Parts: sequence; C-alpha cells; structure tokens
Amino acid sequence: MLHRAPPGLKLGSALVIVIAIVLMPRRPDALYLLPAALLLGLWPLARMPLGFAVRRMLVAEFFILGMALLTLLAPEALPVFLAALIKSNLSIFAMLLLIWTTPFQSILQQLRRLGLPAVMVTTLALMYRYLPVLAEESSRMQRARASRTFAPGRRLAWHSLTTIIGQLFVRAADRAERIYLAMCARGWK
Amino acid sequence: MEMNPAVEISNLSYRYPPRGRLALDGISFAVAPDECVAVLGPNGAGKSTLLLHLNGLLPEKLPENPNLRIDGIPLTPETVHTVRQKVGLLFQDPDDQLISATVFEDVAFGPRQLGVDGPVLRSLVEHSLKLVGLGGFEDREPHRLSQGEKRRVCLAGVLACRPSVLVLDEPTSDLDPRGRRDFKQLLRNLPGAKIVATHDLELAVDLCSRVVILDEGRLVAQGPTVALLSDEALMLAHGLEKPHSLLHRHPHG
Repeated sequence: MLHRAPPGLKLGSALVIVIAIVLMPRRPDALYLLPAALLLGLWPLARMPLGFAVRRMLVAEFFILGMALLTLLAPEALPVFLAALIKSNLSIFAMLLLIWTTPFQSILQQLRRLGLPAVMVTTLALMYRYLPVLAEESSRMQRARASRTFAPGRRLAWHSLTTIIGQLFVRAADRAERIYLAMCARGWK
Repeated sequence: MEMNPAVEISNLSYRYPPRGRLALDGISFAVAPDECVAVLGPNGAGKSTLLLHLNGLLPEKLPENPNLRIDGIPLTPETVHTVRQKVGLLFQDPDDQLISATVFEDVAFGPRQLGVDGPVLRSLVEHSLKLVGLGGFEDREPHRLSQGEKRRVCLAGVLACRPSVLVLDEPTSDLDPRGRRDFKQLLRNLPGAKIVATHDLELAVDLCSRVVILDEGRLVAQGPTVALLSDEALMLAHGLEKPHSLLHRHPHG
C-alpha cells in the first residue's frame, strides 16, 4: 500500500520524521514513543519483511555503536549515549521503510526535484549502478585466491582479505576514471 | 598397474542457487595424464562453471559422494585443499588473479602456503618466471604489465604450486596475435594434463588432441579435434564454426 504512495510524499515524510527525531531531547524521553509508534504503524502498510529490516539494521548497528561510543567520552554521557542509539535506530528504520517502498530511481528523481545539486544525484546514481559490479569483482578475486589456497588459516585469510580490499579501492578509482572518460565521450559536462 | 586418469568427471550436474537454471547437466568425461583437451561451446554453455568445479570452488557445499576425481583422489571437503594444489586454475581475467603489490609476491602466494620460504622460495619464483619467459620481472608491479605479461605472471603463480593438471579459462581471449602465438607455444611445452575452455578454435586445433563440446550445460559431443571441428553441421548447431585452418583439410587426412 505504501508502495503506491507518491514517491515525493514518501521522501518528504521520511525527511520530516528524521529531522524531528534529530531535534528531540538529548536523553531518553517519552517523546521518542511518538515516532516509534508512527514507524511501527507504517511497517505493516509497507509489508517490509522482518529479515530485510533486521539484516540491514545489524549492519548499521556497527556504525551507530561506533559513533555513540564517542559520546561516552564526555562527562555524564550516559543519557546522550542512549539518545544517540535511539535517534540513529529510529532514523535508519525510517529510511529502510522508504527504500523498501520506493524504487531508487524515483528517490533520485525526487532529490533532483528538491534541488539537490546534479553532481550529487549523479554520484548517487553511479554508486547504485556500480556497487554490484564491485561486489562481483571482489567475489571473483576471492575465488581466484581460494583456488590457490591449500593451507587455510586465519592469518592468511585476513591477509588475502586486506589485499583484496586494497585492490578494490585502486580498481574503483581506475574504473571511475574510465567511466568519466566514457561519459565525457558522450558529451557529459 | 594402470594409471589413474588425471581428471575423471562422472555425471556432474550443477544448478546455480537459488533455483537457477541447470548450468551443468550430467557431464561425464576423463582426461589422461599429459593429454590436452579443449572444452568448446557458446557463451553460457557451462564451460567456466565446469572449470570452477575442477578446483572445488563450486558447488558451494562439496558433496560427500564426489563425482570428480583428480589423479584418482575423490574431491571431498577433506581433500579439497590437496586437489586445489594439484589443479592449477588460470582465470579468464588476469586481474582477478593478480592482486599482490609485486610480481614476486603474487607468484609466491601459493608456494608460501606449502611451507616454501627463504632462498628456496626465491629460486622457485625465479624458476617459475623463467618458465613463462619473464625472468627478472620479480619486482615489477602487476598493474603496469601488458595483458600478455599479466597472463604469464598468472601462469607462473599457478606453475609455482607444481600442479599435475592445468585448467585454463579462455587463455588467449585478450591477447594480440603475437601474444597469442607466444602463449600457445608456452602451453605446448608445459608437461601435465591440460583442460582449455576457449572460443579460440585455432588454439584447440594446434594444442588439443581431443575436444569436448558443451551446450546448455550438456555434453553434446566429444572426440578427436580435427574430426569433430571439421563437422560443419555440428559446429554451427552449437554456436561454433569450422576453423579456417581446417577449411581445406580433409577430416580424415
């Protein structure tokens, strides 16, 4: 049902919800029940599978924890720490509802309409297009390494992994250069 | 005592998960030690999928009842690392294989795990590079090499593990004519069994005594190279063509 709502409305509401959450007090507060209830209410309308949400929340949790831990360095930080956890999780859940119900292309269209600079929209579009290419490339490199791995061990696995990650950065930069040239060749400015 | 075939495949099937199409459908054939067999077929016939099986990289979970034997060793979860050393797999894109910072590091990757180190490792790497005609390339950076040189560094990295079977995926696809000729010459002089998946039919004629043709995951024909590749109807039916070098040659002459 949420799938058929106009993408502009969905993007706008998601942004409003996130901004509202960000503006809420820097301590655990009953006020947070409001956006939480709203989002939980929207969940069934979005028909978003539990697994989809949980997997993505878990990935985000690492970053959230990393950031929230920094707040613990300040004195009397526990309420701020908890608020950071609540705010981040609620915001990410709002974004998950948005991307589950809205095709990425429509989100980009709306962002352009909202006046986001064209360079940023293009960057997002290219990222969306090339992430699977990079994933494919890394899995091919891992496979090639596996074919020459006869004495599996954790140290070797980590070493291979870091080599692959380093190579991915170098290759992504190379590919970006080629993509840019190809875009220029077709008149991109 | 009868020698084990270098590679023995019996009734091998594979479906890409989840519920993909049948990429391999009941494939059976064997390769003798020192034999060179070409695997031909149109794009998507299952050639690369088959090659990944030879190294235990597919299926994701190796079966307890293996349908693959290398030098008589059944390919099971317990033997997979032994088999990987025996089967040297050369990937289609050299850049997938070459990810170390220097040529030396890349060639040393396999032998290091076999416990080779120090001066022995250095001389093994030197020897492997000389075998492929790249003596003195140890300190070069892989991304600054030509495509043909990259291919040969990959081959050196595989040879350094002393495999008994070489498995090559499109080894000449991105080489210029001279690179192609040189690489073919190099392969011809290497001992051991070879399996070559290729669209380069001249390569099959020059290098391989026997040919296996796959189409849509099925083994549709196998036999002596010249006889099979001269069969124009068979070639056309499976997205191939009669190689130029055979156009004026009698199939049985």
